Amino acid sequence: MGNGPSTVRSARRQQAERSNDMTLIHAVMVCIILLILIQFLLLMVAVEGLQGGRNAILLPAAAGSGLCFLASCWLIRYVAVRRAGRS
Amino acid sequence: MTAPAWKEDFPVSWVDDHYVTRREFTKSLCLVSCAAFAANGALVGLGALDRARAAVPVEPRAIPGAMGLEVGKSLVFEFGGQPCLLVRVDAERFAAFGQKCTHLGCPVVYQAPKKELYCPCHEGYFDMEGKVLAGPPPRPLPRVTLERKGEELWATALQR
Repeated sequence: MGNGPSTVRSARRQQAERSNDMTLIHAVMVCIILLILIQFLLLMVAVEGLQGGRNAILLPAAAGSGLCFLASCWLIRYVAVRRAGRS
Repeated sequence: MTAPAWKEDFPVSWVDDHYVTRREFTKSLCLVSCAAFAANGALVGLGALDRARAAVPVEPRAIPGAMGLEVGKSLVFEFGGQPCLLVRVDAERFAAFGQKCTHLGCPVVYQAPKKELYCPCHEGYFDMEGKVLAGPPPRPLPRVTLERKGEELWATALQR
């Protein structure tokens, strides 16, 4: 065994890292799709509230939608930062 | 195996050109999320406009053709920026309401035999006070205050 750090990663380790990255990206995609479904649900609730004259529901629905959007952005940024850190 | 000669004139692979990477797809999902949030924001703006419009005092106005209305008949007139329904309940009594159903905004109609207001969209029923009798509407219909001035019938206020 050498004394210093190895500069050459084994092919198997690279493959494992790549597999982990793909799993992470797939998980992020599923989470974002779920968040978008929640946003569409909130949009539907807001439209029905506006049509029925129930304006009190609009602001909470928009706030929930905003939180979902921020969560989506955070997930994408997390993946990007992780991949940038690895490379 | 050498490539065919026509490949030199069409160097771009059609399949590769249309290939969407996972990263691009995820970014487009984020754009869809942004669009949904923007749509929700637009609805908040529309709701604020509605509230501002409701805050403006309504000018009283005469209802054209009200006194000539037969018993059991109804007519639609515009008041307070929304369609309203005037009903002649009997020879002396009139009733007027906002015509938009409080469920999802469909126009209600008067059913003379039952003396009820009926929303055909989702089977909502209202009595002659505007109160909900049956169906999904959550609130009573807004009432229009009527005032008789000589031979004319005037709408003077809209209860929201």
